[in-house]
Amino acid sequence: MIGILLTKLQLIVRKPWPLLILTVLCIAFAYFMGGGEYSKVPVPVVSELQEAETTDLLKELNKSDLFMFIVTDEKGMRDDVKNGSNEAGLLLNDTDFTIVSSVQSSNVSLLQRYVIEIYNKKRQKAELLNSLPESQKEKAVSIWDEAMKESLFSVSKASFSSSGARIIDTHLQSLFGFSLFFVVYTVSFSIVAILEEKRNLIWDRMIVSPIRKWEMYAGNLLVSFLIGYGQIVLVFLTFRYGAGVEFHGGFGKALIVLIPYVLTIVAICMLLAGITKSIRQYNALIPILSVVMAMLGGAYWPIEIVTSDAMVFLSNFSPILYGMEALKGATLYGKTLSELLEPLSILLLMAVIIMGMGINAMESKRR
Amino acid sequence: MVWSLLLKELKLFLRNPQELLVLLLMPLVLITILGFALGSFFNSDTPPITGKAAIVQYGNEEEEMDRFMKALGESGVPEPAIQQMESHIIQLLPGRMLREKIFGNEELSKVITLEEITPSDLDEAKEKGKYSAIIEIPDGFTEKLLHSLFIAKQEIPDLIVYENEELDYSSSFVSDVVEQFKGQYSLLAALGKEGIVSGDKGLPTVEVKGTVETVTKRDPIDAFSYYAVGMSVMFVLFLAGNIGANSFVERQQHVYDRIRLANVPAYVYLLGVFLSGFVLACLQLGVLYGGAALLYDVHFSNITLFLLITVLLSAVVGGIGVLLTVINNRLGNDSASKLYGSAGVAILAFFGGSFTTVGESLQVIGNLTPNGAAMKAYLQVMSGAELADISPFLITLLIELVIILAGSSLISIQRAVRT
Repeated sequence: MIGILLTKLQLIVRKPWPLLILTVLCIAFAYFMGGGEYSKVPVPVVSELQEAETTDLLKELNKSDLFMFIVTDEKGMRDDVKNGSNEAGLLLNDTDFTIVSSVQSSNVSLLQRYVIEIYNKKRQKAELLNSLPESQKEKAVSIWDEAMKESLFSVSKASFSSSGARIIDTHLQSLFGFSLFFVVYTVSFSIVAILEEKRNLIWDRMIVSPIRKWEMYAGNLLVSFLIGYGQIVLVFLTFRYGAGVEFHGGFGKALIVLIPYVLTIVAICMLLAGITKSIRQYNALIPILSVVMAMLGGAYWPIEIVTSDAMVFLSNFSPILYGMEALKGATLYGKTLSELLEPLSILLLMAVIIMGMGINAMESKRR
Repeated sequence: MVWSLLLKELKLFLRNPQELLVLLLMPLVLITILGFALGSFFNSDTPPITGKAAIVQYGNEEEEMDRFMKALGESGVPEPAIQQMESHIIQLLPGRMLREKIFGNEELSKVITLEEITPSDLDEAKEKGKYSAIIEIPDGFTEKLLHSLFIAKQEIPDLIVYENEELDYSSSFVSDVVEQFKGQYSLLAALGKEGIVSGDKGLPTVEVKGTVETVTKRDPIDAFSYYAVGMSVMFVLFLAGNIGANSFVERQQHVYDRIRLANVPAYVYLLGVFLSGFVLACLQLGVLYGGAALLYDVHFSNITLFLLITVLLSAVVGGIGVLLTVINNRLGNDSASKLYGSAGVAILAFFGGSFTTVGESLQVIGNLTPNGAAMKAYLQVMSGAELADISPFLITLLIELVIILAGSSLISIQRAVRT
């Protein structure tokens, strides 16, 4: 077993590039996707209102954390939307507004909701003033402004699991998502070596050598596990100490909850290697499986936005779902390891069952 | 000769059903998954997220109101005035307003349903995580609120919203609703106190809907169309990897040497690789879009432009196939096509926007990828764009084709010199 370990590590030292490239890609992805969400989405605005009113409205609109509104002319706005340099444009008039878009995306619905809110307030104020006699108007405006500034009660926020407020951190979502996604590739690269050894008859030579069967499997699986786990640890360390990403006191816990996840991935790759008929087939299935698992498991986006019941049901079979749950639980939600027992034990169960099936398939294929 | 090479490649593909399954069936499955999973996110008619919220009230609102009325009497307000105020104050009870007016609103109750729970259930509810958020009205909240509104300003009472951290979107949504309620409540109370609006009538209600119009006055692109394009341009990239891997197998099994012995120049062989990639990509895209049209009614209004994009994209795919072939040969192993097929395609697909629209800054990179450029062009043709609108993307594809082909010939010539 030690022999296999040393051989494999030697092979990695001799050809480190695929592994290094994957790690760097993973870091780059997590960094760009996590950072990208902070920039505001620019929205070109065309106004049919009076200039003073437009300025007021624009000031109100630009309080958004998500959008940035810029006045332009109608033709320029339509052109920008048409050629895709802006997702959506906004046409303002007195009582209503129009959003001009080319693709219906999540940003467009968010924009619509946001502008509706602001228009409601504006219209409400206008209607109220309209219904009042001239003498009361001034007073109403001052009361309105006063009430908007100083409210009668405050709203404080807390989270379900801890007394503090909910932590909003888009960095960690993408860091976790892409780490869990890329490790599937890393592990699959290392498992495919078994198939290559079989093809080159090295496996047969090992069988006739004094080495035991379980040692052959244990050695190979251990190497795959170590490589995958090492990669994630490296990525996490880079982010924690290199980019200064806050793990909210759960760094150690995060590293522990990763163990059953990586084990599950090793098992899945093993099963795939067992049931596929050729290396090419294995190589073709890996990216598809990993992308499907990542999409269903919420590696690219928070799983909450998936509303279809069938998809929510399917996501229960994706190990990435439990991996994300455990990682977020350990860091963002500040849960203890015993509170995370549920996702962790599901992962372990998956690992054991799938590994059993995988080794079985691998052995029976040899006939 | 090129014709026989092309025929050989086509036959090889037809005899490999697993590969066909991956290249043709898989994208259709993914279109289905993504279309259903993210469909509501694309559709503004249905709310993207729905959830449940709970409200928990400590103490008793009516009792608190009675206590306040008593205090009001003690502060020297005459009896008839108190009686008159009572009807106004009943309308201003915050718990009642939240339950009946805010969350009872027809529009909002489609998105968030509010349930009432008792204080003893609070911990269990938090534990189970069924609710997106829980609104807590603390003991004495109502009394303090009314006191500072009508008698004298004292400490501002605090309403607590517990947010379920696992349901990011819907919990923020409930928080926003409560924040808005705070503003509206303060407004209504202040205006009501001055007698500008009467308590039972409330603030005038307005309903702004806003319209969403597409640039070309056509229906916006729905999830299925978006992902039909996204998955097609992604999976056509896999084809290039398969082409590269195939030709490496030929070299390993000395098929290539035998072809060369039959007096076929190396460039003719590469031309065969290019053409087979091109033809197969055209066929694959045709089957995928055909399938999407039959299953999910995805269609293009301008067939000529659609064909133009398809031909250009297929040529680029053929080019990538050639490039991978020569790099594989140069390295003497198939790591180039392996890396491309696993991580490379996924990355290109991501930047190109096959999974979800990427942010503004990444969009620039995305538009430079062949799949990203083709995807943009396809989507614009779908929403009725003309040739002039999509020409930047077509030019990008053309330039890439030239660069890829030039790069491959450079690499293959160097190889020829070396051996």
